[in-house]
Amino acid sequence: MSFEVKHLQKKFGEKQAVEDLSFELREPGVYALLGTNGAGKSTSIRMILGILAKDHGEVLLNGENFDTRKVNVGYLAEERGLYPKYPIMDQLMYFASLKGLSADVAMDRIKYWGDRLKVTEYLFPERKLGKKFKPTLAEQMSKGNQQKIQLMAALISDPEFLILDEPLSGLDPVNTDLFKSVIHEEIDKKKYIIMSSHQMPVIEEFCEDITILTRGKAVVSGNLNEIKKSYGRVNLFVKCDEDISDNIKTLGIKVVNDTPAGVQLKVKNESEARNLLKQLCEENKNVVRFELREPSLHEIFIESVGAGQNADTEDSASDKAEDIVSE
Amino acid sequence: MNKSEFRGFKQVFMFEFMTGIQKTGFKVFIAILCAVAFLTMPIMLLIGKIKGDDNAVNDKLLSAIEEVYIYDETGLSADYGQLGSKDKYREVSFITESSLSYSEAVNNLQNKKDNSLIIRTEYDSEKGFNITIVHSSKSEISDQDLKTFEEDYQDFYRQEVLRSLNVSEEEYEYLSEDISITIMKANKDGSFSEDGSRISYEDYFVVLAGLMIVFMFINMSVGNVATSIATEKSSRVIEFLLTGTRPLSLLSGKIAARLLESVIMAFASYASYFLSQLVCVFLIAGESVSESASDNVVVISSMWETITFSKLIIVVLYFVAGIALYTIIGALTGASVSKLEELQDAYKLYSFVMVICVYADMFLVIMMLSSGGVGTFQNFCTIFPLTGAFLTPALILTGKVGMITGIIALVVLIITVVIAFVLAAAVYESMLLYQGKRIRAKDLIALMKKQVIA
Repeated sequence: MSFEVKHLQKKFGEKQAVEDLSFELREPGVYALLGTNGAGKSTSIRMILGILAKDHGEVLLNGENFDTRKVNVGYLAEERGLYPKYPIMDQLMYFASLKGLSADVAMDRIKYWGDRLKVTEYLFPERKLGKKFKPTLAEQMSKGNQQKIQLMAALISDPEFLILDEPLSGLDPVNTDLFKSVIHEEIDKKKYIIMSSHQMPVIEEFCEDITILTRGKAVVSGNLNEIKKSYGRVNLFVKCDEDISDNIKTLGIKVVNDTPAGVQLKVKNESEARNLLKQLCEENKNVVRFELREPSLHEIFIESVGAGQNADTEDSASDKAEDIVSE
Repeated sequence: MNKSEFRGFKQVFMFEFMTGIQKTGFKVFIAILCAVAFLTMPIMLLIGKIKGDDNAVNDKLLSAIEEVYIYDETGLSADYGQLGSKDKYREVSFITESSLSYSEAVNNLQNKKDNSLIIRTEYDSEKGFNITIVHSSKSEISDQDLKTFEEDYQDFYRQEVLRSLNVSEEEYEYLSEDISITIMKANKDGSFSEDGSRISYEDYFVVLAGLMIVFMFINMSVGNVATSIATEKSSRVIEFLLTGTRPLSLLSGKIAARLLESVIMAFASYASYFLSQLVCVFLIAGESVSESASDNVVVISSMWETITFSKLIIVVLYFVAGIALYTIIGALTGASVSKLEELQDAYKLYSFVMVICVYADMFLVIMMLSSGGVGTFQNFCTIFPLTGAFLTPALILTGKVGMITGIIALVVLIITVVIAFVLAAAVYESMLLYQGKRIRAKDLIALMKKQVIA
């Protein structure tokens, strides 16, 4: 199976929300869409799902148009949503029926996921003797538990394609681990997953391929390891018992951060690092730590997107009612 | 608009319908509607019975009136002994020869604590008989006694007038019979229908009640569908829903659910009314009610006797199509906002249109009652879908609109509903996914133009 996104474009009024986005998934795994707020991640996902009409481009599955009416897709939206006044069980049964599941199958899966995500008590509240049975309404649940119900809704049809828009945002550490374990399970089941997140460690944990978007444009795209390699091992961390500022100055190395724990440096190449180490050894300085590594995803992201960028939000692009007409 | 655009319709419809009928608002509304339909007629009968019983009791109680001074300027020699022979007036003195003139007697009566009445009867060839009854402001005669005396005196005087003309008792009965006139209009198809420009009091109340009931149904349906869509947009459930279904399924599923709710409410209230009629028939048969009170039941029941099956079908179809039209407007209203709090603001246009249409319908009904002769305006209100949705079903039921006009109005309404649905379908998807400031009518029209041209 191959999944291709080719030259996706979307404009809101005069604002270019997505400009020529292309990527490909040839094997099961997780593809990451990264970007600042308003970079165009959610708009891209909505276009991929066919929720939002695209101005230009194609989304293909095995060479044919990707159609959510034909493919079993699970979607966890960035803007989480449940009917606040309706029982969560009714909502899950409704969502399952929209995915074509029979009531029996839906109930089995709700039981499984309720147990797995530890929300059984809300799905099947106890009937108290002599009191009228009251199902749990969505508005009665905490934000984290509502998020679990939404993850259940995304997974209830056992989708072959899973789109997770900021899946871990707003979760406490315990629930973050729970969600991560569920995502790992889905990866093990050889699912095709597209994930967007702001949390770089999460992306590094799950994703092999990434695209970094800024202001609707893909600025970095490809295999994460290869991207890192292309940057080279230029991050150097040195901790020494003696002061080494003169050595750094002599060699003209850029200091990124100087803390009591050590000095973080940016070298031009590996030989520059080797020269520094050679100099420190010749001067018999006591080197406690000398670490040369590739840039982290966080560093690549900051470099690509530009630190302190004040990106416009997507909403601002469509904030005027006139935009719906021009759209 | 192909078949796959309606994928998920059944699921949306079932969910909307099931959640709709479980709402407290729906349960309360249907309970009130059924209670009103079931209880109104029996209560009217029972009140009539109580009133009848009171009248019967009053007939036996002595009137507080002590003396009645008669100033009859018509020259009629009435036998006041006939009136005095009634039990309640056995203690009353009827004085026809007084030394005082009428004005002196009235002056005398003023400010006196006197339980006397002064009756002056005049005759004018153009205005007929004019009877004036005067009593002291300080008298102890109750309003009930006065009212009873007024009715009795009117009957007595009419009998005396006829007696003076040598009319026998049988002839008097014959002359007293009611005369009712129905003006019929010969239609082009050879059938007859009642002249729509006139309306009786009974029909007036039936039409007005029908208008109010349809108004309530439409309002409830519009409110539910708009709130449902605004909630889905506001809570962003809509994004998740659209991965499993299409916007048209959501739109049509919601409208269908609201229509079924309305039909259920209408049938439930009619069933209650039917049961109520059975209870009334039982009460009448058991002579538990007075004769005058039972007339009300006969009037309402007789209206149903004139309803044919084809008439009923047209009425039901019109009722459903009318609600569908307004529900589509409600759906667009709900989709025009991104936050639930903005919904009240978005209702302004719908409320304005609805109020104008309902007022136009009410004005028509009042005109039909008071003067008639509102043919063009009546045809407009009947055929124009936005006004017809409220009024036409009741006008067809009461026979104020003929079958041909009814069918024309129905066809016009169905065409309007189809056009409204197609236009709504063209913009609904864009509206559903739009998040931002409220979409105003001009934006909506511009969007419709753009989508339809595209």
